[in-house]
Amino acid sequence: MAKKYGISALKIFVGTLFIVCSVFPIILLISGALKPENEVFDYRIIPEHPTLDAFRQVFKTMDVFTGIWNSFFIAAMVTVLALIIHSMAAFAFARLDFPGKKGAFMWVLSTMMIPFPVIIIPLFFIIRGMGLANSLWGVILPMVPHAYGVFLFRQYFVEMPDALYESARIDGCSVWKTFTKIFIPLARPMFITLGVSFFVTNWNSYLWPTIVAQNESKYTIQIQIATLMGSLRISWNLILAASVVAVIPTVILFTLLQRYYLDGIKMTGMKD
Amino acid sequence: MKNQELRKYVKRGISCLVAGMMVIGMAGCQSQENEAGKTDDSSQSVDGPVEIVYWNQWTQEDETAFLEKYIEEYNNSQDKYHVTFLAIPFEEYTTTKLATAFATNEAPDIFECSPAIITQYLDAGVCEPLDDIITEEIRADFTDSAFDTVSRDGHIYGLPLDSDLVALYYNKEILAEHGIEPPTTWEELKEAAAALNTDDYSGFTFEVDKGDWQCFTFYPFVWMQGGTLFTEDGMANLNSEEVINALSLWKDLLDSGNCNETPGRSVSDISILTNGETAMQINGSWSVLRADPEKYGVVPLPAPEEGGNSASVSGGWNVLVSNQSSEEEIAGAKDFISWLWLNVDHVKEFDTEAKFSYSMRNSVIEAGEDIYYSNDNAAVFSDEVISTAKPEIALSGEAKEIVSTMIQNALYSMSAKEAAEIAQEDMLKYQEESGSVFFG
Amino acid sequence: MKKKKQRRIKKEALTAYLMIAPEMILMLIFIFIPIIYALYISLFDWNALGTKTFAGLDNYSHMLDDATFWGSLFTTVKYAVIYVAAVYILSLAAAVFVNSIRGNRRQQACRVAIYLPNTISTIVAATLWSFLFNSRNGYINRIVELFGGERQLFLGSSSQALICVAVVGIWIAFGYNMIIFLSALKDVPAEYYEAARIDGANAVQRFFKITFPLIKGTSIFILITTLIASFQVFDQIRVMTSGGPAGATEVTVYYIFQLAFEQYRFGYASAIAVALSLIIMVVTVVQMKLLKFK
Repeated sequence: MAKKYGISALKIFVGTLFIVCSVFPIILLISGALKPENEVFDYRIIPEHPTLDAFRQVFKTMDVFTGIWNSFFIAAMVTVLALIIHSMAAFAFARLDFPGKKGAFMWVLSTMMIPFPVIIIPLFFIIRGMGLANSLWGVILPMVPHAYGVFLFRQYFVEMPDALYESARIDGCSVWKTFTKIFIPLARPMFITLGVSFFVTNWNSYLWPTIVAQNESKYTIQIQIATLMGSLRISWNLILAASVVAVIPTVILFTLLQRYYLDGIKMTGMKD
Repeated sequence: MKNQELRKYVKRGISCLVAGMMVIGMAGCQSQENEAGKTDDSSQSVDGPVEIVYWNQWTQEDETAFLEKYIEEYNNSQDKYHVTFLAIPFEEYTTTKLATAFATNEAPDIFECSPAIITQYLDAGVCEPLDDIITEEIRADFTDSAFDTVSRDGHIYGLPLDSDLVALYYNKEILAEHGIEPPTTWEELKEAAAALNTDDYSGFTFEVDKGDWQCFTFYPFVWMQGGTLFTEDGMANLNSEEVINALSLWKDLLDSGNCNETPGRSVSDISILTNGETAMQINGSWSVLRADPEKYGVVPLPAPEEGGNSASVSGGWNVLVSNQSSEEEIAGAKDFISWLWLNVDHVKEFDTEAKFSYSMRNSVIEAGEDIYYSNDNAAVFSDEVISTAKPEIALSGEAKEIVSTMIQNALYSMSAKEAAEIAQEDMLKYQEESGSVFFG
Repeated sequence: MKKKKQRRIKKEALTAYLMIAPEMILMLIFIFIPIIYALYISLFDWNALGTKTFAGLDNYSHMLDDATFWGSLFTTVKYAVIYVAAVYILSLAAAVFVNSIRGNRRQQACRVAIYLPNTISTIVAATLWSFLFNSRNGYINRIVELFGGERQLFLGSSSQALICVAVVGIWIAFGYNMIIFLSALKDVPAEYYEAARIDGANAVQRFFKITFPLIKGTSIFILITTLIASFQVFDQIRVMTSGGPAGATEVTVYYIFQLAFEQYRFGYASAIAVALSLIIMVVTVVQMKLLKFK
C-alpha cells in the first residue's frame, strides 16, 4: 500500500511539473499583455497595474480582422485540402497493391527532408508563373503537399485490422467505397488530430506568407505581429497582446475538438 | 437517432462551409488576377495612371502615417502615376523578401536599403541612376560624404533619407545613487560597469548578438583611436592595433560579468534601459524622444583615454529605384521621389515629427533646429556626437560575415588578437578573389 | 478465375494511382521542381540579383573545406540528439501520466494544458523563453538561485545556448507527440493489464512488458519524424541567438539561410542544402533499417 502511495505521489509530482512547464510561459504571455508598457519586463506574474490598453492599441493600429480572416482562410483551406489528399494517398499506400508502390512511398517520404528556406526562391518563381503572387492561394497551395500527413495516415491505416478491409471487399464494396464508408469514419480521430495540427501550423506560419503578400490586405495576423516586432522602437506589451489575440482561435479550436481526439479510437478487440 | 440527425446536419454544415470558402477563395483569386492584369495594362496604356510600388521596412505608426498622407496627396495632385506602399517586417525585408522579389522579377519600383545591405544591390546592378533628379544644386546642400555609399562609377543611385547616430545612454538615478559620473574613457566605462552592476540590473549593455547591429556599434570604438578596419586603398586592416584594442575592450567588458550577457531583445531597443534592466546602454539618436531626459542622460561613447577623442557612427536608409521596372515606372518613381524626398519641408517633417533622425541635408538640419535642440539629450547628439560620426561601412554580405564572426570569436572563443588575425586572413582572401574594396 | 483476379488487381492498381495522384502532382510542382532548381543553382555562382556564372562543382568542393559547414553539421547532430531523446521520453512519459488519470474531465484538462504550447507560434514561444532564460532577471535563474545554485548565462553561454534553444523546440513539440502516444496507449487492450496485474506485475514491469512492445510502431514513427524535424530547426534559432554565441547554435539550416539571404550566395547555399537533404535521407533510411520499420 505504501508503495502504491509512493508511486501516486511521484505521479502527482511529475504531472504537476509537466503542466506547470507547459502553462507557465503562456501565463507570462497573458500577464505581459495586460501590463502597461514600462512594466512588461518587471517579472511579476500578476500585473501590478493591469490594463487593457495594449489590446485597445492593437485593435486601433492594426487591421486585426483582415489579418485573422486571412490566417483563418489559409489555415482552413490547407487543412481541408491536405486531409483529403493525404488520407487518399495514405490509404493507397497502406491497403492497395500497385507496381512502384515502394518507390512512390520513398519519394513521398523524401520530401520531408527538404529544408524550406532553400526552396523559397524557386517556389516563388512557380507561384508567380501560376499568377498566384499576391494571392492567398499562392500561400495555400505549396503548403498542401506534406509527407508527414501521408506518413501518419498510412501508419494508422496499416495498424487497422486486415479483416476489416478484406470483409468489406468480400461484401462487394469497391475500393473507393471501402475507403470512404469504412476507413474514413474509423480514422476520425486521426483526421481531427492532424487537422488541428495542420491548422495550427499554417495559422502560425509566417515566412512564406510574408514572401507572397504584396499588399497589406493579404497580410496574416502573424505578419502583423512581426511588423510590430521589427522596429527600433518596440512596445512589447503590444506584441504580447497581439500574440494573445493570435493564439485565442487556435486554443479555442483545440479545446473544442480535443475530446474527439481519442474518442473514436476505442478499437479494443478489433485488433487481430 | 437524434444524434445521427445532428451529425448529418453538422456534416452538411461543414461541407457548405468548405464549399463556400472555396468559392470565396477562388473569387478572390480571380479578382486578384484581374487587378494584376489591370496593372499590366495600365502601365502600358496612356489612359490610366501608371502603378508605382514603394516598399520599405517602416513599421512605426507615425512614419507610415506620414508616408500614407503624402502618397495620398501625391496621387491626388496628378493623374499620371499612382503610388502604393507596403511596409514589410524588418527581419524579412532585409533578408528574404527583397532578394526573392528581385530574383523573380517582382521587384518594387521604389525601395530602401541601409548601408548594411546596399552593397549587394549596387554590385548586382539592379538600381537605376538618380543623377538627373539629384542635381548639382541639391547635392551641394548635402554633407560631403553623404553620397559615398550610394555612388558607383560616378553615378548616384540612392538618396540618403536620414542618419542615425550612436551614443551612450545612462540612467541618471542609478548613477547618482552609486555616486558615479557618466564615463568618458574606456577605463571609466569598465569601472562604472563594475560599480553599477547588481543582481537586478546590469552595469552596461552593448550588443552581444551577432549581426549588422553589432558591427554598427563596434566601428566607432576602432575609429576613436584613429584606426580603421580597412586601409586607405580599401584593403583589410583588421589585425591593426586599434581593431584588436577595441575587441579587447568588448571582451573585457563581457568577461567582467558586469554587462548584460543575455539582453532579452535587440540592444537597438532603448526599453532595456528604460525598463530598469541596465544602468547604461549603447543606443542611438532614434531613442531620444523615448528616453525621458529627466531620468536618462546621453554622453558620447567613452574615449580610449583621458583627453582622447570620441567617435560615433551614422547609418540610415537610402531610397533607390529598381531598373527592373519599365521606363514609365522608373519615370514615375523618380517623379515621386523628387516630389516627396527632395522637398526640404517634407524631409524636415519626416525627420523631426514622424521620428527623430538627422538629415544629411544642411537645409533640413537648419529648418529643424528647434527639434534638434528640444532637450538636453537631443542637444548632446546635435552638438557633440554628430561631428564625430563617420558613415557606416557598406560591407558586402561575405565581408560582413567575416567582421561579425571576428567580433563573436573575440567575445566568446579566442583572444582578440587571434580573432583579428583570422579575420584579416579571411578578408584578404575574400577581397583578392572578389576584387571588392571597402572604406572605413 | 485467374483472369478475373488479374483484372481485379489491375483495377485496384488503377484506383491506387488515382488516389495518390493529387498528392504526387502537388509534391512534384511545389517540392521536386524547386529542389531540381536548387540542384541546378548549386552549380553556379549566383547572388539572386545579377547573372549566374557557371561554377561546375566548385561549390561542392568549397563545402568540403568549409569549417563552418562541418561545424554546423556537428551542431545539428548535437541538437538532434538532445531534441529527439527529450521529445521521445517526455511525450511518452506525459502520455502515460495522462492516460493513468481517472476521470474524463480531469484527463481532458491535463491533455489541453500539455498540448497548449503547440498552439503558439514558434516566434512568440522563442521570445517568451528568451525572457525566461534572461541571465539576470529570468525566472529560471531565480529558481536556480532559490535552490542555492549559481546564476547561469544560458543563451549567453557557448555551452548552454544550444540546450536552451532545444528546450523551446521540446516545449512546443512534446504535447503534440504526447497525443500520438496517447492514442496508441488507448489501443492497448485493458485485459492485458488485468492479466498482468493478476500475475503480480508492478506498474514498471507492466509498462516495459506490455505497453512498450505494443506501441512500438508509434514509437518508431515518432523517432523518425522528430529526427527529421530536428534537422530542420530554424525559427527559434533565428529569434533567440542568431546562431551565436560564437556559432554555438549555428545549425546547418540556419547556415544555409544566412548564406542565401544575408550573404546572397545562393549557389553555395543551394549546394549545402542539397548535401543536407542527402544526409537527412541517408540518416532516415539507416534509422528505418535499424528500427526495422516496415
